[in-house]
Amino acid sequence: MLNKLRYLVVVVVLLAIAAPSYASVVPTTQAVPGQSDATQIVVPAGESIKVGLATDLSNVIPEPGADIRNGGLLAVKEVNDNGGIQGFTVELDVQDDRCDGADATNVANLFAADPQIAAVVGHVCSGASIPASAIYNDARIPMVSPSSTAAAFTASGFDVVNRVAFTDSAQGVVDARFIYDQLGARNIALLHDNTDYGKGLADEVKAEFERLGGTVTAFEAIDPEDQNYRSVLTDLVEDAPEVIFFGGYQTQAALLVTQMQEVGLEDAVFFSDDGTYTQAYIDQAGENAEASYASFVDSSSFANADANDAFDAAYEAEFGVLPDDLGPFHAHTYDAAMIILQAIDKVATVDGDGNLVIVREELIQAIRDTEGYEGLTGVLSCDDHGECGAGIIGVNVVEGGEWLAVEVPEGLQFGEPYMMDDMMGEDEMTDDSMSDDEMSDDEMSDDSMSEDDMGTEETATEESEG
Amino acid sequence: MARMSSRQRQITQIAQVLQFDKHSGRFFAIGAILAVFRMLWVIGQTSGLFGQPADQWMWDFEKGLGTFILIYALLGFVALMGTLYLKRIAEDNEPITPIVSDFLGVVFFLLLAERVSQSVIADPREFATWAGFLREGIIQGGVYALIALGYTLVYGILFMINFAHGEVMMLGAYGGWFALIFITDGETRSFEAGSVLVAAWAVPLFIGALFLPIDDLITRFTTKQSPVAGPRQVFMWLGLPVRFLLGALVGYGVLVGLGQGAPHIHLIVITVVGLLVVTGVGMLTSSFVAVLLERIAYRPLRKAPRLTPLISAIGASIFLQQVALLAFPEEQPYATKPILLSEPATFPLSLGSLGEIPISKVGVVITLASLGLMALLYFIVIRTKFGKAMRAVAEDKDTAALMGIDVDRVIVLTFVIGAALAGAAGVMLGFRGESIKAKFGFKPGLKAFTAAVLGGIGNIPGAMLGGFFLGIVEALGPRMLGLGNEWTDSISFALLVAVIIFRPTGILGEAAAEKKV
Repeated sequence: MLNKLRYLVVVVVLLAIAAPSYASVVPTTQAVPGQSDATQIVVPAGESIKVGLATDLSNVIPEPGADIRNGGLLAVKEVNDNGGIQGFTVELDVQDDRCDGADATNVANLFAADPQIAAVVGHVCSGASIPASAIYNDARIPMVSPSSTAAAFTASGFDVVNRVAFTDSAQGVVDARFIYDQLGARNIALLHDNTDYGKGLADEVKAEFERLGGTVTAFEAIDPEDQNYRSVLTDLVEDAPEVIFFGGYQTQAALLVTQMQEVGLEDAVFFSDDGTYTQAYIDQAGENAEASYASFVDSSSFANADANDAFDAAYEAEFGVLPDDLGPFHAHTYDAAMIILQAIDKVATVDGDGNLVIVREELIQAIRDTEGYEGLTGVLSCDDHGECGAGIIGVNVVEGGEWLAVEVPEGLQFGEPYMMDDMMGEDEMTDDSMSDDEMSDDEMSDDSMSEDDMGTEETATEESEG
Repeated sequence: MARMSSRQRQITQIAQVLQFDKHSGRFFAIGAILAVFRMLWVIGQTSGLFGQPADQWMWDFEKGLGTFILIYALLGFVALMGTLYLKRIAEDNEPITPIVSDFLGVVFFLLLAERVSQSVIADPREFATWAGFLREGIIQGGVYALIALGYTLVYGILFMINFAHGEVMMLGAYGGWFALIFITDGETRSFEAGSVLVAAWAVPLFIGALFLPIDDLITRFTTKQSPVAGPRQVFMWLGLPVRFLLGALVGYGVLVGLGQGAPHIHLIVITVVGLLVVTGVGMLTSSFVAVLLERIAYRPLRKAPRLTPLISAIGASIFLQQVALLAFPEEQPYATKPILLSEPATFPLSLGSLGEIPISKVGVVITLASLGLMALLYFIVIRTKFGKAMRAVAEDKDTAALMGIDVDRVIVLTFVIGAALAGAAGVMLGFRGESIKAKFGFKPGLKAFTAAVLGGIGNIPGAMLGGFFLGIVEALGPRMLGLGNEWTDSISFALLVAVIIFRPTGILGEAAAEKKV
């Protein structure tokens, strides 16, 4: 016994000695001229500026992941075709993070270990971006995510973290309001895939829907590794939810909407998010996907329709497929890459030997300072939290095997105060069928103005987008 | 014997009367049954199975049952203490772990029943919902049972866990997927349009084969002796093609006639043929993989220590998974479904005054098919000569070899049977709407392994029982315990741990496990 104790003490002491030495592994910051290190990136004359791009090419959302890669490649190609940055070409280092926290950490470490990587476009999934951001923060590599929407992503306060995507605080609020107001549902069941993204979004929807006075009949996690969700769906049947909201990605959404038909939930409306707003979802779910909803940024709010058309044409010419057939986030990725590249252009200087020098801290600051950049997704400016996204949330519905945009009344947008008319009795509301929507909608938009004081308190504290 | 106080004497008297060390197994079983009965009772009572609302006597009965189990456990504690004391003064060195774990098992069930009772009363569900869980549990359990049989068969014969079994199933599912793509008509994406063509070949071939003198041919090829002597032999051989052609014509005629006269039966026939072909290809694929696996990864290690083939199996599992990932990088759903099973996909099952639940037709077919395959397997093992050889090899390989049994052949065929069942299970999962991918075999494989251990590994009825049991526990467990859906896996594997602690030989016990089949 005493021997064991002694052994334990020795181990603890050894660990204590070893611990500080871990800290010293972090490279000491001492700029050596003409060499990349922890403070600067030096691109020798004739070589390329390296930018990383991390996306999911093989696991959860392979098609939308490839779409994101293509968007980044197209941005880099355009810059290179126009003579590069101060005469230097740009090279995109694409890595597969499998939409997974552990793999994303590996990719982030790979990028961090490469002194030439100036910045990273990515990651794609919030559950990948969040763990990766801590590594980039230590390595002083700025990241701009095209598609990580989880509210928690920018909440870390890291100055390297930016995103072009909207935040789920906005998406969740609009989803909840749309379900309550436009679909007239009062009972919803919430499912999520237990990722930072899916659960975060479901939390936002739950909070807003309950604030509006609706009932959340269930809040359950599903395992994305599983494929049989019939038991959890069976559990929802007896509370007869009018809408089933799912926070997560396309594959699980397709399985859920299919299995709903089998357990007695044929009448419930399936509502999901930007992770489901893909062609692959419709392909996998087939007819069962009809009349299901998904929210995404409203593409009609994109500032520049001509630029988007030109982008789509260039995309098809380059990759032989229309971007929307793969996924929704190509324009965001293009903008994310462009924000990085124009920031590099701003801070990079050519030294006496003809090398391009980028000071890391200056680049991080330059990305945050992005102001009025005219991108495909709108006029982008980054705020102090790294939120660079523009555009308002839109809702889409599957009709005839395609996603069609549904009009979302302005009053439902995030940042707008929205309260249901108190004059309407609770009983009346629960009996609301879909056909009564217009009426309640009209009343709502009249009253939303007068009830500012109640709604704004909660919404105004959070950042509105853009 | 040492002096003892009057209380100690009382305890030892009780212990002597109860003979706890001999009867602890029965003590555990009765306690478990009581606890399970209480759990089921509280579900029935709160869901309105015994009438809604529940009468006062039901509540009293439920509480009384709880108290009874508590008293039962306390009595067991007294008996246990007494027995331990007796053992100590008698200087009996028999291990006490089994009787202590039997007692702890009863305590575990006591607490479990209490927890279930509390959470079910706090959050009651309708009976239709519980019936829905049971439905899902049975369908999923059938698939688990089929896969579990593969683990159990191989373990019974080689005492080794074939950890690549899940991957064998995955490749079988891919085989079925290819067959489905082949069958599916390219333009209309219709299952029937393709199965008509397949049936046009398969039905005449099958009926033609039925017209052959099967008994005579079997005798000819197994005993190497002709069943008929002299010149009649020539007639027999010459008659074969004639008989076959005749049968094929009859088969084709029947098929065409059905198509003209009875389209509905025709539809059933071609659907069944199509499904059989898809399942058959899946079974063949996984059997083929299993033969290779046995030849390459396991046979060279048969004389090695038991850990070595286990590690080889894990290696094979990773290898097969990675190969599948490289060969088929994208997920593949079974995109086409037969009309008979998909339009509509469910039929309502009435529960009388308790409402009705939808039953998936695919689920019914899967359950019936898995039960049928299990019955077939049981028949093979118990009734056929090969089954006897299998049991002999399981009992003692060397002696079996001395009796003229080809041990290698029996082992390979055991692998083939287990893999064929797994291949069928893979196809079933595909038709259940699951996307086939490289990782697809991992989790069902692990679950089926759990099921095999639950039932008693090496025990064929045990694997079947364990499969259904695990399926039902997975569907009911989180809801009975009042936990979220994300606890499903934790519950299954906690169950595995509990079984290993309290019943290391599985539910069906040691006696059956000793026979190894």
